[in-house]
Amino acid sequence: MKSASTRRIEPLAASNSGEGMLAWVDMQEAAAVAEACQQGDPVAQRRLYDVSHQNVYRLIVRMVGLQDAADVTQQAFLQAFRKINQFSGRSQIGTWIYRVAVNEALQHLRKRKRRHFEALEHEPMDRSAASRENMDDKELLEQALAQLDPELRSAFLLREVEGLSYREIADALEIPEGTVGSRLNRARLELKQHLSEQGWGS
Amino acid sequence: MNCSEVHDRLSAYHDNELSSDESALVSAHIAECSSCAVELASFERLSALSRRLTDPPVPKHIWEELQPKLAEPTETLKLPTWFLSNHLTSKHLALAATVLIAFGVGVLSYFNLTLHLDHDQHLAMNFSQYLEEFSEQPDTAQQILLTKYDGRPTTLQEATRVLGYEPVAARGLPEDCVLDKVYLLNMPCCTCAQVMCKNKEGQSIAIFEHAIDQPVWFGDKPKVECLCHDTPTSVTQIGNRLAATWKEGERYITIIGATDLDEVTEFVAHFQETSPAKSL
Repeated sequence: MKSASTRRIEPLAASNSGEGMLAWVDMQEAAAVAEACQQGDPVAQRRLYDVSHQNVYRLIVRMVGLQDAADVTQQAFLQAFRKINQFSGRSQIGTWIYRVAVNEALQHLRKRKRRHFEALEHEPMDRSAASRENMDDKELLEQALAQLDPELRSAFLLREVEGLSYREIADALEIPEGTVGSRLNRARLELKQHLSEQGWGS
Repeated sequence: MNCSEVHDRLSAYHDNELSSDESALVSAHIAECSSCAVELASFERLSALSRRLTDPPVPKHIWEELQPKLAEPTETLKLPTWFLSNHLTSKHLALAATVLIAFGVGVLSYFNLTLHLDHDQHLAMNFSQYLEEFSEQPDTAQQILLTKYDGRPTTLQEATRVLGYEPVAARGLPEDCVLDKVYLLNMPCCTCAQVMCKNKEGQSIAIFEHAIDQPVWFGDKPKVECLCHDTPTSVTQIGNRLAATWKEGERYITIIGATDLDEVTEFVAHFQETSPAKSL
């Protein structure tokens, strides 16, 4: 017998900034900015960029590597503004921006693989540490993320760095909500394994 | 709940995404099971470490370069340089520069089309209507073509039989593209196969395959000539989408509805790589 369970409503534990999704002061403003962007209002476009670019850039840096991140971020915003009429308002504008950004990043990775422009996987974000012995835990995690399957990586980053809920992640990645947990399980297990091999936690 | 069931739900439990009932069952198991408790603790440590990651500083030039692109209208096309700035990344520009050096000035130019033949004018007109409709309403656009050219839905197998050759799409489509519909059109030039597919974003892309080159399809729209996957390709802009034509084997392929030049390149590369001639 299925009982009528209620979901726990608790503040998100994750997010660097502690601001959850994007740094909107209020969701009414977010909706108004989205609508103005649909009219091509340059002030609203700038506002949307200001609020979301830090989140989008840090996500894309970890998806495609530092070298290509600026180009892919620019392309993501260009696509977002060009296709903003496809934004229905059913989801939040923030989730929608993440969706465009992840799509751009994945598309970029596929093309890079296809063209063999770069034979090597992208470098972890911080290359200052020359050897593993000198790496701190954060650098080890950046390295482990760089080696993680991009589909798993995007789910992990949206959860742990961007602080999205499972429903928001499902929306951003265009996957069923029930799949989010299993992707995060796989991502976490693979990251832990990679980190343990490098001596994390020992 | 056993360990396996708990493991399946461990991320959702850790992220507070389980229902209160399920969450209570997982809590009860973890209180009794040290290995699951250790697993959960490792998720917590991983989350704590993730929260400590440093945000990379965003380069200022992203907005500075983005802003002029946003200010430009997307509906009209005036100069090839504008076209290039919107659709080509710096890598492509470098490639385009190489092409110019290799072939001399004049590679990048407008096509001055002179339309004398009645059927050519007719064809150009019908296609301009098709192209105008395509980016907004692919289905309406399709009806225009089917009506004008006595078109009918078909299958790849039947198209192969009627045309006497296997359409390129029968060899498969680029990654993430799915086949939607196949049509046969009785064009003035020849019977032509039209394959509709959808890309990852669900946007329609039409693939035409014809025996002769059809510059009139794009009417007097400005074109650029470029090398996509080392193949000379004519590209033109249709609303905020692209159309492209190139030669594949003995026939010409035209795609309409590509998002950007990268997508065009994917199609060119895919059909070349799956070409029977390549495996010889």
